[in-house]
Amino acid sequence: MVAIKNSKWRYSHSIGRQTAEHNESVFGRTGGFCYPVGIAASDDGFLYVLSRGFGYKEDLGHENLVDAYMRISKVTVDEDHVGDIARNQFTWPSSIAVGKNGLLFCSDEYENVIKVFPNDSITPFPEVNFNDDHITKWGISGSENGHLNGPTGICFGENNNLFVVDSNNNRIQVFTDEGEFVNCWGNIGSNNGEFNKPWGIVCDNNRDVYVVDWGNNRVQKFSSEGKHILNFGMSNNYNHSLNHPAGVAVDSEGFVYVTDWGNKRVQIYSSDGNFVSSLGGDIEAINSKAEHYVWWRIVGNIQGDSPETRNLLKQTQSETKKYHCDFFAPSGIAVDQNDNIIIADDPGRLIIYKKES
Amino acid sequence: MKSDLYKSVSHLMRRASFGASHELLEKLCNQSYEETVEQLLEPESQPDYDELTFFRYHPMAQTLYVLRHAQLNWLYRMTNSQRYLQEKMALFWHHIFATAMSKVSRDAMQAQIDMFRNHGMGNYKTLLIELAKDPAMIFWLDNQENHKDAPNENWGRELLELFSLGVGHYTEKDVFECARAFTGWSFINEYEGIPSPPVPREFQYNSDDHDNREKTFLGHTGNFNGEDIIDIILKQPACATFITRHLYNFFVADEPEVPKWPNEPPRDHEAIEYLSKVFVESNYEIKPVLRALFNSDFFKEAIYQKVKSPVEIVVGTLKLTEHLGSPDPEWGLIIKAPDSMGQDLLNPPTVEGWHTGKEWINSGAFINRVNFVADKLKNTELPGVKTIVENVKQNADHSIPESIVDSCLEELGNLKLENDTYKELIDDIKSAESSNGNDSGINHRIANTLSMIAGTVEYQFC
Repeated sequence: MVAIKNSKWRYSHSIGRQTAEHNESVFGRTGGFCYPVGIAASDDGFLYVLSRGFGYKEDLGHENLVDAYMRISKVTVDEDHVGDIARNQFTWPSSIAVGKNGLLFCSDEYENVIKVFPNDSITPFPEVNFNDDHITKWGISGSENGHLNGPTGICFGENNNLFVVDSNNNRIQVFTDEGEFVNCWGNIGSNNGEFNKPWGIVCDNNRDVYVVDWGNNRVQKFSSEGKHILNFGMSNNYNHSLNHPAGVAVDSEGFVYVTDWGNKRVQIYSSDGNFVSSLGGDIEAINSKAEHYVWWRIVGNIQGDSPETRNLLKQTQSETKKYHCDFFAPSGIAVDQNDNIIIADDPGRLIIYKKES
Repeated sequence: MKSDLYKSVSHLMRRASFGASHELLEKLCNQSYEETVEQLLEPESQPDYDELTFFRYHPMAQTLYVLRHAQLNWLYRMTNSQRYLQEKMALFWHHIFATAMSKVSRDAMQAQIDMFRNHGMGNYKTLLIELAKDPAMIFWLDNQENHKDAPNENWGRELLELFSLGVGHYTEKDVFECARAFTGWSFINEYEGIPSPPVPREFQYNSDDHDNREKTFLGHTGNFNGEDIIDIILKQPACATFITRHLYNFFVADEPEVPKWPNEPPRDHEAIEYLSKVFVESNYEIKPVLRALFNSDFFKEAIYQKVKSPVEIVVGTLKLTEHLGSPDPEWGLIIKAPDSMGQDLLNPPTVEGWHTGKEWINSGAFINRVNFVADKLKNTELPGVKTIVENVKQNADHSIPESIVDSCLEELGNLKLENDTYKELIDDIKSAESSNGNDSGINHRIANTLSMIAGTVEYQFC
C-alpha cells in the first residue's frame, strides 16, 4: 500500500505554450509542440515528446505533401530543447516508448505500424526529411494475431516485451521488441477484460498492466499475462470518475495517473484503484523560454523595443496565468526517474507536476 | 427504374440536406414524403454525430487553432450528422448573417454557428435577438463602438439592409435611430486589459452607455431599446417577404443577387407570397415555413434549378460516395476544397456573404469543382461508387451505350443532359467499348462515365 495521506502534488512549470506553433526564435528553441500525444522519459534524463501535428499533410512548397508539425521533440524537463527527430515521418502518430539502447518506438494508428528511431537523429528546423529515418518498422494491418488495427498506447513490460493497445481490434497485443507476436487478450465489450477503443497503457514495477478503456470510461488492470485484476474510474461520484480517459502513467510508489481527457483533468489513483486526488492544470505563467519567444515576436515583428512592448509582454504573462491556467485536452502522460509527472496538453504544451511526500 | 418517391426524396435530401447515400434514400422510401419532411423538421429526434471520437482522432478540430481547423469541424459535422436540416439551416443563416474569421475569433465564430443550430429552426424574432446579442456579430459590425454619445451605424444598417427588410424599406434616419436603440449592446472581452484586438466572449448590456432618449423608427415613436426595434421590424410586410425570398433562393431556385432585389421581382411571386403568409400567420416561426416550402408543388417541381454551392458540392459528393464517414487524414485535403471553388467557409468575403447561383460556376473555380467530383466518382473503391456501379451493371444493357448513360444519369439523381452532352458521353463509351469487355473493364467504363457526367454543366445544379 502507498502512503496516500502524506502525498501532495504541486504544479511545477510548463514547457511550450498555449499555441501549436513550433516556437523557434532568435532566442533559441522553446520546446514548442503541436498536439503532443505521447511522452516517454529515458533513463538518461531526456523526454521524448511525440507531436501528432495537424493530422494531415499539405502543400508547403515542397515536392511532396508534408506535415512539418509532427515530430519527436527531444527535450529535458528543464526546458532544454535538444532538437526534433522524425519530422514528417508518420501519418497519425499516437504513442512513444523508449526501448533498450535508447531506441524510440512509436505507434502510428493510421499506418498500423510500430516504427523504431535512433534517439540522436536530429533534423534541423525547419528542414523536412523525406527519407525515412526509422531503423525498422513492423506491423501488418488486420485482425489476426499479430496484426494491427489502430495501434495507440505502447509500453515496455515484462521480458522487455512491447505491450501494444490494438485499439480498433479492442485488444492488447504483446510483441518482442523485434516485432514477434507473443500474446494477446481482449475483445469488444464492456465486461471485465473487454474494451471499447482503448487508448493508453503502462506497465508498473510489479509487472502489472494498466489499460485505459476510453469508450468504457475506466482503467482496467491486468497481470502481464492478461489476467484481469480490477477496474476503476467508473464511480458515480464525478470527482472520482473518468470521462473518456486517454493516457496512464505510474510513479515509483505505485500511484496511477490518468489523463481524464473528457473532464480536462488528471486523476490520481492508488494501485488498488482507490481515488487519491485530482490535478486541474494550475498553470501560473508561460515558461521563461516561451517568454523569450513572445518577446522576440513582439519586439521583432510588431512594435520594436519600448516601454509599451515590455508592458505587453507582462500582459501576455498575465493572460496565460488568468486564461490558460487549466488543462484543455490532456492526453499523453509520463513519469520520469525523479517522479516528475509530465502531462501533454493540446494544442502545444507540457505541464509538469512534482510530488511532495 | 427508381420510383417516383425515390426521386422526390432524393430531390428533398439534396436541398434539405447535402444529398444522401443510396442506402439512406432506400430507407426513407419506407415512409411517405411528408413523413420524411416531418423527420427533417425534428432534428433533435435523430442522434447527434460522434463528436468525442472525431476529436480524439482530429484534436485540432477541438482547439480550432486556425481557420482550416474550424472548417474541418463544420465540414465533418455536415457530412456525418444525422440532423440534416439543422446543419443545412445553420449554413443558410451563415449565408445571410455572414460573419468572418478574418476578423472574429474562432471561439466566437463557433459559438455563432452553434447559435444558428439552436435557433435556426425556431422563431425568427428570437433568432434576431440572439443575433443582436451574438458576440461575433457585435464585433464583426463594431457595435461595441456604438455609444450613446457617438452612435456607430454598422449593425443598425445591416440589420435593416441585409438581415430583415432589404434596401428600399427604410430611410437613413431609420438606420440612425436603429443604431441609437442598440447603443450599449456590447460584449465582454475574453482578454480584458490585453492591448490586442478584442476577443469577444459573451454579451454584455451596458445600460450606462445606452441612449435612453426618444426615437422615431419606421413611423413609431418611443424610448426604444433593441428588442423594440426588432418588434417594429417584424411588423413590416417587407420582412417576411425578404426572409422567404432568401429561403426560396437557398432551397428552391436561384434568385438574382440580393442587391438586385429592389429592382427585380421574385422568380415566383406567388410562392413568395404563400411562404410569407405562412411565416406571418405562424408568428414568424421558421419550421412552418419550411414545412410549407418542402411540401409545395413549386419545390417539388424545381428539380435542378439551383447551382450547388461549393460546400454542397463537397459534402454532397462525400455523402453520395459514402466517403469519409469517419476520421481520416484525407480530411486535410477536403477542408481546402470549398475554398478552391470560391467558398471559404466561415470566412465570407464581406457582410453581404457570397454571391450565389451561376456566379459559383462563372468563375475560374469551375475546373476545381469538376476535378473534385470526378476524382471521387471514378474511384470504384468508395462504397457509394461501388453501389452505383453495381446498380448500373444490374439495370443497364451493357451492349447499349445509351442504356449505360441513362442508368448512370438516373443513379446521379435523374439528371437530364443537353443533347450534345449526352451524345458526347455515348461516343466516349463507343470508343472505349472494344478495349476491354471483362468485369473490371465494365466497372471502369461506368466509373468513367460517372466522372464525365460530373464534368457537365448540368451536374452543377441540384
